[in-house]
Amino acid sequence: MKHITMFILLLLMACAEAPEEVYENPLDIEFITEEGIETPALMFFPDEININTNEIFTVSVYALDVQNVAGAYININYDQDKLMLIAINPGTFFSDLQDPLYFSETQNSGKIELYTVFFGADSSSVSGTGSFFSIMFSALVSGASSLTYGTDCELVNPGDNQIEIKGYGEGVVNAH
Amino acid sequence: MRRLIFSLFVLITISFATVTVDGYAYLENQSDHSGINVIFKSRYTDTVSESVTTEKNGYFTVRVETNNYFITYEKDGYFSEDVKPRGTIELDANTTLSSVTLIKWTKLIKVANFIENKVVANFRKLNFPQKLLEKTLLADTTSQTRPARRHHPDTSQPPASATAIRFSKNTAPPETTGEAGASDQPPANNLATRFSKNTVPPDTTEEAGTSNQLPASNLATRFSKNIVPPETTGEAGSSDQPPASNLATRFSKNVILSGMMGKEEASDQPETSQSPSLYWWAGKYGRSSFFSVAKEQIKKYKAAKDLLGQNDPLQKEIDKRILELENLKDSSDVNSVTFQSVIRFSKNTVPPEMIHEAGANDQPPARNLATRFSKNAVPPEPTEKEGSSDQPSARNLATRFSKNAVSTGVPGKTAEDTQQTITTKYRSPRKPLAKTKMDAMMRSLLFPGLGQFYANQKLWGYGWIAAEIVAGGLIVMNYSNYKTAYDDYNDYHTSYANATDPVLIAHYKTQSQNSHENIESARDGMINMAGIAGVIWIANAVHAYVAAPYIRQTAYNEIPLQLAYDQNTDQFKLSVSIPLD
Repeated sequence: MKHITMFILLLLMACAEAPEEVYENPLDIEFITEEGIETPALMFFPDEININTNEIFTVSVYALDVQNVAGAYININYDQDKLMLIAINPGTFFSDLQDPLYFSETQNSGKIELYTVFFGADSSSVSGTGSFFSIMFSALVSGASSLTYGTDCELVNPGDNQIEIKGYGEGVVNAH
Repeated sequence: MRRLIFSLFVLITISFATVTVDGYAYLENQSDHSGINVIFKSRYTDTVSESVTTEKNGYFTVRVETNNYFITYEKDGYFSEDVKPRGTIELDANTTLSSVTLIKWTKLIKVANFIENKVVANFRKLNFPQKLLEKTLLADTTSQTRPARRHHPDTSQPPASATAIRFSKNTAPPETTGEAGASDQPPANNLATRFSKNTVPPDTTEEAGTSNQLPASNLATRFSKNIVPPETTGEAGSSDQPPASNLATRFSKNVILSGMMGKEEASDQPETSQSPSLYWWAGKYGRSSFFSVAKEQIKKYKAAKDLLGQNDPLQKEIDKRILELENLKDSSDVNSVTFQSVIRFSKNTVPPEMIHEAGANDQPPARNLATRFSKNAVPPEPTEKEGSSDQPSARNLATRFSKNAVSTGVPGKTAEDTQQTITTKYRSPRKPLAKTKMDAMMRSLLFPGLGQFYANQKLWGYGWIAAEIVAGGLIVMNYSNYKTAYDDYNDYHTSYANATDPVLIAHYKTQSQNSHENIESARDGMINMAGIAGVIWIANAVHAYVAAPYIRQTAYNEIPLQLAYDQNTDQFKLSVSIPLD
């Protein structure tokens, strides 16, 4: 009798299992704080990409919890043997009356250097969280590769004063 | 000289004086009453003095000398009748005799003989001295060729005078078979002698005609008073039966169902003591009943003795018989079962198995049958030859013997029953499976309340079912909540994961967390209710175990033990089986 009761209870518990509670949004300040990343920070979104080989994917470069940013220099490193840069598009963080001014240097060396400046109608800077660029890659071969920020990235305010970047996020690409 | 002549004249006149005797004699249920012989037989010379035949209207007249006469009315196919009240009459003047009605022969006569046979057969089993038995047969038999006819002790005999009256109507016919009636009847004057005192003929079978009849005088003595008519065989159906109403009157005391005879007669009396019914009888009535019957027998013999003359040779026989019965009454080493056989048949009761075979299962026990047959004759059994007879049908007979008529049985069945080989003395029938606590508990484990229903506690059964249904409902409700929260969580979590706006991220995150809490809550509620339902289930099973009747029965208590006696092999058989369930 006991066995029957236990079996029924276990069956019920198995059927009513609660899902594990996971909150891993890279733009969630609580989450990145738990991960040891302080703000203001530069993050990839999404920070983990699972694709098939030769498949194109887009990853965004986000400034997280920044204040009075008017210009930025972003340096991104990638594994050129596994990923191929397809395109670079401006983000929405500096968009206002017109698209932001930006240019990039790729040099096919696995390093992307991006420059952008904000030209606002009513203000000269932006604050908060937003994307500077969205970059398109294609997975050349299967395997994992990473996207990282260079340590020389800079954020400046309208007076061209540097804003300290306290954290850098990392992106992972899993090509199958 | 003139005196002398006158005296001689007077003497001659007196000596040869004749008187006119007339009267009426009728044939029962006949319009033509002619042909009845009225026989005048001198009481002193024992010779037939005169006889006359009736006219169509039944009237007869005859002149006879003054004398004391036995007067007998006879006609073939009818029971003879004696003049009332004692069969003799002093005729010294013109006399008109009282009218007499002759009754047609009937097959029911054999019923009485059946009773007699049963009695004697059981006397034999009572270890009666063979000598006594032979005397009995001698006293009852005229032909001495068949021991079938015996005295029929009638326990309800009235005093002598009454007996004469009674048996003047109840005389059995000389022959009851068609063959007998057709050819071998003794002359009427012999019959008159033979049945002058309510006697019956020596034999009733087809051998009757060839049997050696004793002289009529002996027969008259021998069959005086209470002798039962001879046996009628199956061929008796060829005789002309009288109407049933008369039969009922005629066999007013000792008539029994003729249908019981069947093969018993043909098999020369089965061993009634071996009949299974005797076990029943013995157990039901006890041996004391026999002694009362023996006392009745003695009483009857004494009454018969009183009716006989002092010099009657039967006196000694009756004395011996009385003595034997008295000894028997005092004996204590006789098998009680056999005693009961005697009792049963001496009371003219029907063996239970006969009743059973006859399909009359609702018949009262033999004790009641004695009463039944004491007043009302039972219809004769339709034999296989009945079709050729002019017997009234059994249905009519049943009507005829109103009140207590017994339905006819199947001839021969009785004999088969008495040959039944196995008589189960004790049998412990296997009882139906008793309700047990374990059964109740198992049923409740199978489904709540079933054990209570099994234990006839329906209210509790419904209660446990209701409780379980409530618990089950709560489980279902919690599961529904769980599913809803789970789906919400998935939706919010997906939105959270895809959100880039910090406000939306925070919102979805909060919603996801809330959904997750709901999931947890519903899951907990579901598990709790499942636990409660399980507890209810167990409690219901325990309650069923407690509520079920406690029966101290084990498989060993229900061992079917059968003890039987095989009469063919004369062995007892004991069978025991042990159920392994």
